Amino acid sequence: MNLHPALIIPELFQFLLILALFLQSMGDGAKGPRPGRWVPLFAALGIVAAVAGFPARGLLFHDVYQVDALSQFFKLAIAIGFFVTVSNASRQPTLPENKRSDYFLFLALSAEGLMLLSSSTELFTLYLALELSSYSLYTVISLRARDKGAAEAGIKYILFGAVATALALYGLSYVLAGQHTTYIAELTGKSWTWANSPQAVIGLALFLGGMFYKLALFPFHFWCPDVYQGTSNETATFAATLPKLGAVVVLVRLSAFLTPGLEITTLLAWLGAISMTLGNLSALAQKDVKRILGFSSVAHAGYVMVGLVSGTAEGMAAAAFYALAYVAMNLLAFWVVSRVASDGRNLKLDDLNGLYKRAPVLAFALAVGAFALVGLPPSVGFIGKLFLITSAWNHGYNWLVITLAVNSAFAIYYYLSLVRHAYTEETVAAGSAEPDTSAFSLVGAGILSAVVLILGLLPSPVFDLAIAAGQGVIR
Amino acid sequence: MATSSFLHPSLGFLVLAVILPFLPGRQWKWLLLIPPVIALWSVFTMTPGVHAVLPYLGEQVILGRVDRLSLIFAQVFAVMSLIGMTYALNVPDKGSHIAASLYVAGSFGSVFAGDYLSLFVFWELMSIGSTFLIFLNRSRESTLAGFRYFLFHTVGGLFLLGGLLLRHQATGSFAFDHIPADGAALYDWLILIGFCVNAAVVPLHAWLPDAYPRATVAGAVFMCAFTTKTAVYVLARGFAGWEILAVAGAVMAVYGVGHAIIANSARRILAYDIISQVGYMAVGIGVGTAMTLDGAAAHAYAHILYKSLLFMSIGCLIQGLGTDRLEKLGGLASRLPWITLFFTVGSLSISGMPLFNGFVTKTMTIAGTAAAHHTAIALALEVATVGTFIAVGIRLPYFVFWRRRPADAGPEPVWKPLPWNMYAGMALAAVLCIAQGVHPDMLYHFLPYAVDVPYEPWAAWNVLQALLLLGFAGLATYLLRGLLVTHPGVNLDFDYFYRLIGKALLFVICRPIAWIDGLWSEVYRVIGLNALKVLGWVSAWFDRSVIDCMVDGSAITVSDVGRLGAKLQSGNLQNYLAMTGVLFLLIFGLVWYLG
Amino acid sequence: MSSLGALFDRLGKQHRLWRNLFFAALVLLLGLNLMIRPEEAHFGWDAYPGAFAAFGLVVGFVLLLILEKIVRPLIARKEDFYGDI
Repeated sequence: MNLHPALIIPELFQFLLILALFLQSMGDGAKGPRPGRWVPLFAALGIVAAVAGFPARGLLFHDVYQVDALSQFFKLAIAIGFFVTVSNASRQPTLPENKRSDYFLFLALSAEGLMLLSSSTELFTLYLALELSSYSLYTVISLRARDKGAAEAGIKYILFGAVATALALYGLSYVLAGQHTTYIAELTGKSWTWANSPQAVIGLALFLGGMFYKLALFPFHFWCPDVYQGTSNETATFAATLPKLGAVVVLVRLSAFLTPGLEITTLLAWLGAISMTLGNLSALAQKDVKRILGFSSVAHAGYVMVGLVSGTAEGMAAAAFYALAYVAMNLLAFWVVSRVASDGRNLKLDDLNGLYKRAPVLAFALAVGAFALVGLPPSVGFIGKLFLITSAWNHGYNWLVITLAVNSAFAIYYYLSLVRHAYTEETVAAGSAEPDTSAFSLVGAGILSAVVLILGLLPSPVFDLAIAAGQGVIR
Repeated sequence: MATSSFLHPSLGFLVLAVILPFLPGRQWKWLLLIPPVIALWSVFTMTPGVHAVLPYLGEQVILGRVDRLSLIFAQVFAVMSLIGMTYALNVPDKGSHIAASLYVAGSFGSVFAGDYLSLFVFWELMSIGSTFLIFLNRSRESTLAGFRYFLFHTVGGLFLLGGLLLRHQATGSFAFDHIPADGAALYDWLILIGFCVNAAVVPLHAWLPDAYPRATVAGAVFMCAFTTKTAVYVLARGFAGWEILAVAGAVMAVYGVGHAIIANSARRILAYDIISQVGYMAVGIGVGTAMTLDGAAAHAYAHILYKSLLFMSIGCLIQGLGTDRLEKLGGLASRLPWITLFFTVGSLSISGMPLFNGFVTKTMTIAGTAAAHHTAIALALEVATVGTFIAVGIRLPYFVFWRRRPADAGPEPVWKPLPWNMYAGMALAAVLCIAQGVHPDMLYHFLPYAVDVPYEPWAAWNVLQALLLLGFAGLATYLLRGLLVTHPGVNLDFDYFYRLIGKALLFVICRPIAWIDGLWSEVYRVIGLNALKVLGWVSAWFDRSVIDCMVDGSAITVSDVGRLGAKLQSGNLQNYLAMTGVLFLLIFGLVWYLG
Repeated sequence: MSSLGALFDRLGKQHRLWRNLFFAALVLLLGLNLMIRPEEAHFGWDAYPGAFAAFGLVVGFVLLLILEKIVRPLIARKEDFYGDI
C-alpha cells in the first residue's frame, strides 16, 4: 500500500476542509460561522499546505498515484485558484442561505477531485478522479435562486458530461484490451500507430474525449457558453478555471507518448486549430459577457493544444504555464464580472458602459484581464503565448502556430470591446445595480491584476517550475 | 573588531532631500538635524578599508574608500553639517534645505570616492546643490551670480571629465590615487585644473568672491566650508608633492589677503580670505612632506570651523540688519554683543592668535614648509598671515563693530531679532575653535600622516613668534590708521577677463550659428513645410481609400463568419450531442485517412 | 542693551586704556624675544631678536601702503560696474 501521509499533505488538508463543511452542512445553516467567512481563510491555509507539500516526491497505492513535480505544481495552482474562487463566491447574492455550506462543500470536493486528478498515473484512477470533480460540479451549477436558465445549464452540463465520460470509459476499455495495461508509465512504451494497434488508438481517442470535454475543446465544447451563461457568476468562476487545470495536467501526462507524426497527435492539432478558430469567430457575435468568456475558453483550449503536440519538455511546460496563465487571467475577468454584477445578474456588454467612472479600479482590472487574454505585453497572456509559439515551432506543426497567431488577431476585437464598453461608452442602463466597489472587491481586483502583470514581467520562476515538471514527464 | 562597517554619510542627506518635498506642516525642520547626527555617528564608527565597491559597466566604482585622510575630512564635514543645519533650522524654504542636503551629500561622496567616476558624479552634485544655494537668494544679482558660478563650475567639471576619460583611455582604470609629479601626462594636468577651479586657485578663483557674497545667509555658511575643502581633499589625495601647487598656494595666499584688505563688503572680505587660507592648504599639499600635509588637513579642519563662524556672524547681520556693506555698518558691539563675541572668536582664530585653533594649524603648515626648505614660500605665507590679521582681525571688526557709525550712512536700521538656532550654530563653532586652540591634541589625534618630530604649537618660541608678528602688524595698522577708510564699490578681479572671454565666445560662436539657424528656418518653412503638407494629403488619401477599405472589409467579413459560426450553438442539447459525435468521428476519420 | 552689550560699550570707549595696554604688550613681547629665540632659524634672519617684530611692522606698512595707495585706485570701480545689480 505504501501510504505516506507526508506525500499527500495538500489533499489531506482539502479533505479536512471537506469534512468540516460536511459537518456544517448537516445542520440547517443558522448556527455556526457563515461558510463565506471561514472557508476562504482555510483555503488560504490550503495554499500553505500545497506549498509545504511542494517538494514531496513518491509513488502511492501501487503506483497509481504519483507525487512528482508536475502534480505538485498543479496542486499548488489548484489550491490558489480554489482560494480565489471561494473568496469570490463568499459574496454570492443568488445562493439560498441554507445551501451555502453545501455549495462550498461541493466546490471543495471538486477541487479535491482535481488534485487527485493531477497525481493519477493510471487510467482508472484518472477516471475516478475525473468523475469526482465533475459530479461535484454538476450539483452546484443549477444553484441560482430558482433561475430556469440555471436549471437548463445544469441539465446540459450533466447530460453532456455523462455522454462524454461514458465515451471515455468505453475508450478506456479499448485501451485496456489493446495495450493490456492502464498504467501511463507502461503505456508510454507501447506503440500507438494506427497500423500497429488500431483498437488502442480508437480507445485513446475516445478517452481523450472525456478530457476534452473538461477542457472545452472542439467538438466537446458545446456546453461551455450555455453553461457559463446559465449558472451564477461565482460558480462560473470556478467552472471556467479550475477544471481546465485538471484537464491540462492529464493531457500533459498523456502526451508523454504523443510524439509528433502520430495520428493521435495530428488529431489533437486539428482539434486545437478548429477550436481556436471556432471559439474566436463565435465570440465575435456575442453580447453576453459570460458567453464571450465561454467561447474564449474554447479558443484558449485550442491554444493549449499547441504546446502539447510538440512532444518536447518545453512544449509541456509551455502548455502547463499557459493553463496557469489562462486560469489567472480568467479569474481576474470573472472576479470583475462578479463584482460588477453585484445582484448576481448576467452582464451584457452594455452593462459595462461607463465602468471607468462608476468603478475605475474594476475597469482597470478588466482592461488588464482583457489585454492579457488577447496576449499583449507585459501581461502573462503574452508570455504564455510566446512560450507556446517558441516551443512548438519547427516540430512539425508550424501551420498550427500560424493559426494561433491569426486567431490572436481575431480575438482582439471582442476582448477589446469589453474595454471599449467600460471606457468609452457613456450611456448607463437605468435601474441596474451598482458595481461592488468595497475594499474587498478592489483589493482582490488589484491583487489579481498585479499577479497577471507580474507573472508577465517575471515569468522565469514559475516557468522554471513548469520546465522541471515537464522534464519529469518526458525522460 | 573583525567586522568592517561602513555607512555612507551621504545617505542620510540624500534621503532627506528626497522626502522633504512630501512632508507637510512645519515640524519637518527637526528632521534636518538627523542626517548630520547619522553622519557623525557613521564617521566615528566606520572602519578603514575599501567598502562599497560596485561593479558598473565593467569598471569598479568605489564608494567607500576610508583611510585617515578621508576620515579627517569626513569628520569635519560631519561636524560642519551639524553646525550648518543648526544655523539653517529656521529657514522655511524647503528648497534651500534640499539644495544644502544634496550639496553636503556630494561632498561626502567626493571624500569617500575611490574612483574618478563616482568622484565626478558627486562633484557635479555639489556644483548643482551649491548653485541653488545662490539662486534661492532670489534677487537679480544673485540669479546672475549663480548663473556665472554654474557656468564656471561646469567648465571646471568638464576639465575633470576630460582628464579622467583621457586617463582611462591611457591607463585603463578609473582608480583615484596619488599621481606622481614627474611623468605627469596631459590628462593629469586637466584633472588638476578641474580640481583647481573648485579650490579657487588664482587665476581660476574669481567665482568665489563673485558668488559667495550673493548666496543666501545659510547657504553661504555651507558653501564656505564644502566646495573648497573638498577640492583641498582631492588635491591632497591626488597631487601631493606637486611643486606648482606650492607656488600657486603662495600666490593665492598673498593675492587673497590683498583683495581682502581693500574689499568693501563683509562677505566679500571673508570670501577673499578663503582664497588666502586655501592657499596655505595648497602650499601644504604642494610641499608634500608629512608635516605639511598634516598641516594642510589640520588647517582645513580649523578653517571650516572658524570660517563658518565668521560667515554665520556676518550672516546674522545680513538677516537682522539687511546689509553687510562696510560703509553702512558700525557701532554694533554694544547692540549685538553676542554676535560680536562670536565674530571675535572667529577673527582671532583666522588670524592665528594663540588659544584659538587657527594658531595650531597655520603655524604648523608654515613651520613644515620652512623645514622643507621652501623658504620663499614660507615667507609668503608669513606675509599672508600679517595680511589676514589686518583684513579680518582688525579692519573688518573695526568697521562693523567697534567704530562709531558714520553719520552719512543713513538712518540706523531696525534690528530684526534672530531665532535661537542661529546663535546655537555660532556657539557650537566658537566652542570648537577655542577647544581645539586650547587642546590641540583634539585635532592632532586625527591627522593622517605620522611625523617624525611632531609639531609643538605651545612651544614658547612658536607662541612668541605668532604674538610678535600679529602684535607688530597691529602696530603698523595703528600707525597707518588714517588709511583705513571705506570706499563703496567693487574692485576689479579676474572675473573681468572671464566675462570678456564669455562675451567673445558668444560673439564668435553664437552669432554665426544664429545666422545659419535663421537661414535654415526659412528653408524649412518654404520648402519643407509645403512638402510635408503634400505628403500628408497623399498619405491620408491612401489610408482612407485603400487601407481602411481593406481593413474594414476584412473585419466585417470575419465578423459575419463569426456570426455564422455562433449559429452552431443552437441551444439544444440533442443537437450538441449529435454534432459532437459526428464531428469527432469525421475528423478522426479524416486524420486517419489522410495522415 | 544687555549686560554684555553694556560691557562692550564701556570697553569700546576706553581708547587710551587699550592703546596703553597694547604698547605695553608690545614692549613685553620684545623683551621676551630677547630671551626666547628659535632653535633653528627657518629664514636665517629670524634668529635675531626683534626680527619678527620688524617683519610684521614692515610687511604691515608695505601691504597697507601699496594696497590702499596704489592698487585700490587702479582697480576700484563703481558698485554696478558690470550691470548686474
